[in-house]
Amino acid sequence: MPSSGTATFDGVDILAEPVRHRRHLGWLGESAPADDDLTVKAYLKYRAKLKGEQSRKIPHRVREAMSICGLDGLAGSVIGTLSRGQRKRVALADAVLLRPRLLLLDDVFAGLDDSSREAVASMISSFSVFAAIVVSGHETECFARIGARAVELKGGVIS
Amino acid sequence: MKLPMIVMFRTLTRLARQTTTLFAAAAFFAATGALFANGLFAAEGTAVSAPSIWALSVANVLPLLTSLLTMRLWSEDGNEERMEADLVVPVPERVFAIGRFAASYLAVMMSVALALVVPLFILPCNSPALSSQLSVVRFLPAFAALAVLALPLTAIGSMTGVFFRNAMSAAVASMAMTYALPYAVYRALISWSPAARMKFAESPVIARITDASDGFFSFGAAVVAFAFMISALFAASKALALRRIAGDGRLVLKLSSYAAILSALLSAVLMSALALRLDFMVEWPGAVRTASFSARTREILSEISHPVRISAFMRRESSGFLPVARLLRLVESESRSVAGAGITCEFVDPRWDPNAAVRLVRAGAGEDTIVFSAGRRRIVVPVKDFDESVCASAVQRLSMPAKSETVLFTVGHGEPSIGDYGPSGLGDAARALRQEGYRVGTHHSLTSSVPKDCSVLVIVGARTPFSTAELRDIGLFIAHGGRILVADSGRPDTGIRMILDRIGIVPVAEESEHVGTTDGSDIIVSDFGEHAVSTHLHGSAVLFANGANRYSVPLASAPNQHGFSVSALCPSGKYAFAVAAEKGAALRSDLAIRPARLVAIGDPSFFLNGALHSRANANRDLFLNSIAWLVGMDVSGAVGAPSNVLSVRMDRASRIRFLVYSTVAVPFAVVMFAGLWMIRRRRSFK
Repeated sequence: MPSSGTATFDGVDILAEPVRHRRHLGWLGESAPADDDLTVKAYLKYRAKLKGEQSRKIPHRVREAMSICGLDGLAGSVIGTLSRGQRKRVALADAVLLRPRLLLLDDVFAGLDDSSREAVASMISSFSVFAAIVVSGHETECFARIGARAVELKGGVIS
Repeated sequence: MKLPMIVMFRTLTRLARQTTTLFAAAAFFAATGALFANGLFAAEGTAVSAPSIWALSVANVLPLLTSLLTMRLWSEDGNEERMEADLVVPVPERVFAIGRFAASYLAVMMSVALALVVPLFILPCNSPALSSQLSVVRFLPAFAALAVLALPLTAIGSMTGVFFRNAMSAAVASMAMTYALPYAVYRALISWSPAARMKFAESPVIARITDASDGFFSFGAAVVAFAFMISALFAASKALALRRIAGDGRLVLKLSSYAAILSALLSAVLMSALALRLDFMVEWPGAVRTASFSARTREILSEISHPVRISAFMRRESSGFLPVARLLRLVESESRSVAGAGITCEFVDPRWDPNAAVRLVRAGAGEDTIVFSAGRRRIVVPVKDFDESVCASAVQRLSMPAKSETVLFTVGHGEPSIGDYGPSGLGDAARALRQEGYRVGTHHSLTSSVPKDCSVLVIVGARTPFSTAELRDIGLFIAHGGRILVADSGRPDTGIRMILDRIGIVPVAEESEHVGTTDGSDIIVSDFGEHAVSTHLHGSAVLFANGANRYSVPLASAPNQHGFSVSALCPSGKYAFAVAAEKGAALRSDLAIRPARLVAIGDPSFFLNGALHSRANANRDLFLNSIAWLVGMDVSGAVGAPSNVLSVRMDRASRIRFLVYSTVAVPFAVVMFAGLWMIRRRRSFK
């Protein structure tokens, strides 16, 4: 939520209708939050239900998200046993689960090694087909790799 | 409802996999088991029911359980951005608040249900005497009461978790709000308000739990529980929404959200005050009442024609305060349920309520007494003698016309003295009669005839002969409708046999077949005849000395050749250890005719102090019932022995065994099974 000013999504004030705009929003936090006690597949199914997807479409959504994020071989793995990079991919899969129109990815490349960064960058590029993507972070070379338009913030102000 | 259920099931599985849930449940079982066992032992011989003891033991630990189960509902989510991930989905905050509350509430109630293992399975194995009183149906009201209590406790625990990022801080805050704060408010209220102090004998929460366990549900208490539950859930959802606002911005939005939270809490307080003001009791339909008065007492309470006030004049810290308070609350509830004229109870602490104390002292009451008052009439009963039968008798006496009956004990023939409080005296019997409102005195039959105002003449344990003149005088007394209680020593030379012969009561010489006590010195009789004196004693037992006389009892109830109808009170085969005789009963409807009555007990030591000392036997009740019937209260008197007295009957070894099982067995089993399951699950992850 903006600390001041307004924000609109499709012309709708997000403060006036806070739930409606979230249907089209995907978010990835810095710590890649996920439920450690669930398997990857179970977690994505739970998130799809929570986001209001129809029951008959959930298996397809989950398969698609896992495929896009390279999680096919980890479907039965418990999230708590995954590496940091794998957890990040699970959180990404959650963010793109219902093909949102806007993706907010906070510090998506932080803590990843080079190969993981390359893999994530490739995924983000593929997301641009269906979503507008806002990525934040300090890894400028990664942003260049995905062809992002860069905006620099200094003291909370766009410089 | 679908989304909250999705959140609820997810939260339930998370709770099931947390070790804090396991240890919280184990600690809960151990604490409730210990409290239940100790409460049971302490309540032996009182009218407190096992379900209410269990409910109180759970209620005292429930705030701890709800705090521990809810402390990790939200706190760690905030640290790991899991809460932000949840807040991003298109689901209102209230869905998460309701779903997680529902999950933790289910976990709490499953723990409470599992705690029933101790009273329903472990206790019957250790106390067969109680097994008939222990069933799922009898514990349902208590379980329902705890289910209502758990609603606001769990909701408040869930709410505090939203405000704190640290689990332990959330747990401490929850404990403070659900246990410390209500207790502090209660203590402050009774310290500052004399009216509240006299009205509330104990914490209203404890009182309502006890009442609900006995089948009386307070509508006001249920409204309070729901009001605080809803306001806590509202506060939780508002607090979740506030999480979205980072930094110092949106000040107006933040303030309005806090104002909404405070308004919700204030509304809950106001609604609770209104509900308690308009409170009424709802009786559990079809429940088996586990702690209630006898049918006779309920009848007495329903016949009260004008209000009665009962004042407990004692210190709150005294050991007898809580049992007295609970009995008086039961009296109030029963009088409301039977729609009598109404009984109000007050609790006067001499240290805190000087004005009320002075009023009672001027009325003739000392400290540690129970004062029954109706208008200008008062009856004062010592706390140590206070029980159901004394209470019912006092209430009944106040509602009867102010006429005091006189009971005279004969002296001069070796009888025990009514002023003797030693083991072989009659002091306790005389005091019991005075507490019932009788005037008690002695009759020197050698020097005077039986006074006209003598309601009952008592002849106990005479050892020297009555003179011919005395026997003639007693005979005339009976012929003119007099009432006599005889506890005969069996000596043929005293002349008492002659009196009994004239009535048709014949002692027999055969040895009785009896069931003795462990030392063979007493005869236990637990069969009682269908007579106004004894019919309410079913389920209890009286003690006679070994060698007590027995009397023949006619098969038919028709009057014998002397015109008396003789009935067995304590039958022993074809005979009886105690009989009642009445002449002219058929003419009783004519107020001018007063039928003669006699009760003969074949044991002169039956109501000596030593025999009356133990309340585990019904000798006192049989004695008082006999006097009541002789006086003429057979229609509106004769309170039976309470049939709902808690009797655990465990020896020392059984008590220790039960305490160990209830405190250790269930928690150990839970830790073992749940721990093995967790270890197995973790191994499968690897």
